[in-house]
Amino acid sequence: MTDMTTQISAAPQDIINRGTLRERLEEPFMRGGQIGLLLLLALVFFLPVLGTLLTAVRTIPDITQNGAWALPASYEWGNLGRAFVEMLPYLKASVIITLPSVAGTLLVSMMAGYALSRMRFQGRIWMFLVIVSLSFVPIHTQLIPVFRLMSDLGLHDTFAAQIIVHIMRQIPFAVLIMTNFFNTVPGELREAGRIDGASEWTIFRRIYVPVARPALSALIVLEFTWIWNDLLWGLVLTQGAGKKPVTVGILSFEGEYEIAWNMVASGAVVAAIPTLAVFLAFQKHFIRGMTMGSVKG
Amino acid sequence: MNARLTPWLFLMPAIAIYGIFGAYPIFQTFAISLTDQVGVAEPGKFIGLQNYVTLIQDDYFLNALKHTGIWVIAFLIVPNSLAITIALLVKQTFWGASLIKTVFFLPLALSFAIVGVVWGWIYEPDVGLLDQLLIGLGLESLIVEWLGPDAATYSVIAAAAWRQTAFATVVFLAGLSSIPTELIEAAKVDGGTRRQIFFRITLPLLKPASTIAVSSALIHALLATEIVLTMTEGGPFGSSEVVGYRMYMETFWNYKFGYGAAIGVIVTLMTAILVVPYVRRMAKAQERDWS
Amino acid sequence: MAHVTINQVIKNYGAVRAIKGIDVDIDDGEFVALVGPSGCGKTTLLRMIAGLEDITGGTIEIGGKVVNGLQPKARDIAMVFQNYALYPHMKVADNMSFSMQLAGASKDEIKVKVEDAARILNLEPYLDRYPRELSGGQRQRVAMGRAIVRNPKVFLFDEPLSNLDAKLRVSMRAEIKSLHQRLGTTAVYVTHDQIEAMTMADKIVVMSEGRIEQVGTPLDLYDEPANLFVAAFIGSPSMNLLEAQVCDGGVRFADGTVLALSGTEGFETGRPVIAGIRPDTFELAERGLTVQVNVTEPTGAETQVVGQIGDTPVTCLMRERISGRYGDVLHVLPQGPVHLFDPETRQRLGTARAAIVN
Ligand SMILES: Nc1ncnc2c1ncn2[C@@H]1O[C@H](COP(=O)(O)OP(=O)(O)OP(=O)(O)O)[C@@H](O)[C@H]1O
Ligand SMILES: [Mg+2]
Repeated sequence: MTDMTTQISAAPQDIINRGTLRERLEEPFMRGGQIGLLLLLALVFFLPVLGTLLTAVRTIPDITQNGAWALPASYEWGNLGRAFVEMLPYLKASVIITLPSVAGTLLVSMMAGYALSRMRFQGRIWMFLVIVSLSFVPIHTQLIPVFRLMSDLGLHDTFAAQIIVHIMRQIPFAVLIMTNFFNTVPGELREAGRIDGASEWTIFRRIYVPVARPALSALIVLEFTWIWNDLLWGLVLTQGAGKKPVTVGILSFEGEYEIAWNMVASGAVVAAIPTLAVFLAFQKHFIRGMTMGSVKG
Repeated sequence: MNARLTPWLFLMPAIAIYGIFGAYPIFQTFAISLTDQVGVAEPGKFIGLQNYVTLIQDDYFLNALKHTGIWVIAFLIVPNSLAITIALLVKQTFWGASLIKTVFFLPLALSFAIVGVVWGWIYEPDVGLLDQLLIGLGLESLIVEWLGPDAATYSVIAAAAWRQTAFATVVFLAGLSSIPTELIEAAKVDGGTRRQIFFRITLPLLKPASTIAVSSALIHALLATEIVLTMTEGGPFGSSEVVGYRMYMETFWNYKFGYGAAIGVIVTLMTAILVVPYVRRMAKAQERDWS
Repeated sequence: MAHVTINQVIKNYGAVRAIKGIDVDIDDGEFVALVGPSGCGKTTLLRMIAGLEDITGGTIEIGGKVVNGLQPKARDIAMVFQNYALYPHMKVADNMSFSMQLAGASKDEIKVKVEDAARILNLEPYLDRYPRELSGGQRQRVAMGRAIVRNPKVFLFDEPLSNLDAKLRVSMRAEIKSLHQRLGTTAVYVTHDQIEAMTMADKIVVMSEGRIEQVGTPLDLYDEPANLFVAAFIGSPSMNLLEAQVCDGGVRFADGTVLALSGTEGFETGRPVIAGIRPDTFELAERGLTVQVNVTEPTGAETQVVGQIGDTPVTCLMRERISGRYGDVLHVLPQGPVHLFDPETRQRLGTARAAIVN
C-alpha cells in the first residue's frame, strides 16, 4: 500500500525534473558536451584579444623566433608606455570630442523623448516614425554635404564640427531609447506634477530626468562607446593631427610602425582601453541599453 | 506656455540639429548625385541621371556590388547562427555565465579601427597569429594568403563577423531571457520533450530577437565601410571592395563628389528597402502603446 | 474650502462624446462620490475638475469662479491618484512638500506643514524613506499627505483604494472619512465600488455612459432609486427586477403568482411594470413567489439563495439557515417595499408595500 502511494506521487515529479528515460540517459553526455563546446567557442572568440595582449608586451625578435603564441621571453611593458605617449594627443582629442557629444546627445534626446512619449499632439506618431527611420540612415548619404557645409561654415578641422555631427548622428537612436523609456514611466507622475504646480519644464527637469537615471546610464555608456569608436567622420572632417580622434590615430600609428607588430598591438591596446574599461565597468548598462534600443550594434 | 507649442519647444533642439546637419544633407546628396561636381570648391553642373548610368557600367562599382552581396549573405548566416548557438549554450549550461558572457560581448566595445588592426595582425603571413596557430596545430596545409586577392573579402568578413556575433549574442540572450520560465515548465508538465519544447516554444518566441539580429546584420553588411578601410583599403586589386567603401574612395580620394553621392544614394535605397519591415513593426507597436 | 458647480459639462474625445452634459452642485465641505460602471466617465469628469483635461462645453466653477481656462495649479485643488503617482526619486517628506517647494515656501514653513500632515496620517516614522520602501497602505497615505499639505479648496480622489487589499481598504475608508470630517474640505471621490460610496459620501452621483442617472444621499438612492439603472447599481447583492402586471389589489407576476400590495391603486389594471425587490426583504412563506434554487451560499449570519423565478434570475438573502440544492423549490414573499418601474421609460413609478397576505 505505502509503496504504491509513494510511487504514484513520485511519478509526475520525475517527469517534470528529469524528462523521459532516453533524455535522462543522454543528460550527462549532453551537458558535458555543451560545456565543452561553449568553452571551445569562448576560447576561439577570445584568441584575438589574447594574441594582441601577448604581442603587445614582447620584442620583435622574441615574436619571430618563438612564434606569436609563445609566452613572452621578457615582459616589455615599456611598449605600452611608448604607445601611450604617442597616442596621447589623439586620446585627448577623443575625450574633447566624445564628452560634449554625449552630453549634448543626452540633453537633446531626453527633451525630445519626453515630448514624444508624454505629450499628445498632432503629428506625434508621424514624428516617431520619422525618427525610427532616421536611425537607419547610412552615414553615406550625409558625408558629402556635411563635409561641404562644415567647410562653408569654416568649421572644417575643428572639434566643434565633429561634436555637432556626432550629436546629429546619435539623435534618432537616443530619442528612440528615451521615448521608449519614458513610455514606461506612469503618466500620472506628470499630472501629479501639474497639480503640484510645476511647469512643463520643471516636470521634465525635476521629475522625469531623475526618474530616467537607469535609462540614462545605459544610454551614456552606449553613446560614449559609439562616438568614441567612430572612424569615418574623424577621417573626413579633420586635417591636422591635433583634431583627429584615436580611431584615426591608431591607423596612422599602424602606418608608422608597419611591421613592428608589438608596437602596433600596443597601440591597439592603448586605443581600446577607454571603451574597454567603460564596457567592463558598466557591462550591465551597456547590455541593457542595447536591448532597449536594439537597432544598432 | 502655450499648450500647443510646448511639445514642439521640447522637440526643437533635436529637430534643429538634425534638420540642419542631417536631414538637409540627405536631400543635398540626392541633388549632388545629379551633378558632375568635383571637389567642394564649386558646384557641378546638372547632368541628370548620368552618374547612375555610368555606375551600372562601372566595373569597379559592379565588382564592389558583388562583394557587398557576399557580405550580406555571409552576414545573415554566420554571426546569427553562431550567436544563437552560443546564447542557447550559455542559457542551458549556466556555466560560468557572467565571465563567459563578458568574453562573448567584449568585441562590442572595440571600434572597427581596432578590430581591423587586430585582425590585420591575425592575418599577417607566416608570423601572424592565425598562421602561427595553424602551424602549432599541425594544420599548415590550410594556410592561404589571408589578405590576398582570393581570400581578402572572406577574411575581412570574418573579422567583422566576430563583432557582429557579439551583438547578435546579446540580442538572442535577451530574447531567451524574456521567455518566462513558467512557459517552459508548463510545456514540460504537458509532457513535451526537450526537442519539442525547443522547436515549438523557444524558437517561435525568439522571433522578435531574430528580426533585430537580422536587420542589424543586413545594415552592417551593406555599409561595411570602416572595417574594409582599415584592413585592406579594398585591395589587393579591388578584391575586397564594397559599395560603401567605393563611395568613400570616389568622393574623398578621387574628389568625384557627384559620382560618390550617387553611390551614397544607392546604398541608402538598399538600406531603406531592407529596413522597411522593421520600421513598420516598431510603428505598430508604438501606436498600440499610445492609443 | 469651496463649493463646486458643474454646469452642462460636455467632453468629446475626437468624435466620441464621453461626457454628455452633466450638472452637479457640490456644497462647501461636502463629500461627494461619483459612481458608475467602468467607462461611464467618472475619471474624465474628475480630471476636468482638476484641469488635466480640457472642457469641451459647459462650465466648472470652484468657489464661485469659473475655472475652465485655468491650469491645475491655479485651481487650488489637490488630487490623489489611483496609483498614487508618488515621485519615486524623492523621499516621503519631499513628495509631500514638492508643491510648496515650487511655490517658494520657506524651509520652516514646509517643515511645519509636512510634520502636521505626517502626524495626522501617522507617517512620522517614514518621512525619510523613499516610496519604494513603503507598503501599499503607507504609500496611499503619503499620496493623501501630499494633498493635505497643500491645504486646497477641494480634494479630488480617483479610486484611491482600489490597489489595496480588502481589509486595508475597509480601514482606509474609515480613515479618509474621519479625515474629511476633521478637515472639512470639499471632496470629490471617484469609485466604482458602491459600498465605498454608500459608506463614505454625503452625496452620491450615479453616472452611466456619460450621463447622470441620479444624485442624492446614499439612503435616498437606496430607498428611492430614480430608475432601473440606479436600482440595479446601488445595493449589494443587487435588487431583483421582475416583470409583472398591475392587477386588482396588487401585481401579477409572469408565472401567475399574485402579490397583494398596497400602493398600486393609482395604476390602471393590466399596466406592465417591473417590480424591484431587494434580496434581504424576502421571507419564507407557505405560498408566494416560487423560487427554483440553483445554489445556496451560507455566510453564517444569513443564507444567500441564488435561483430563478420563472426565467428571471433572483437572489434572496434569508436569515434562516436553508440548505437547498439545485432543483429545490422555495416560496418567498417580500416583506418590505416593492419598487415599481415603467418597463418602457425605465423610470420609477412609485413604491408599494406588501399587504398582509390573507
Ligand atoms: N484619452 C482618451 N481618448 C479617447 N477616449 C477616451 C480617453 N479617455 C477616456 N476615454 C473614453 O471616455 C470614456 C470614459 O472614460 P473614463 O476613464 O472617464 O471612465 P471611468 O468611468 O473612469 O471608468 P473606470 O471605472 O474603468 O476607471 C470611456 O469610454 C473611454 O474609452
Ligand atoms: Mg477611471
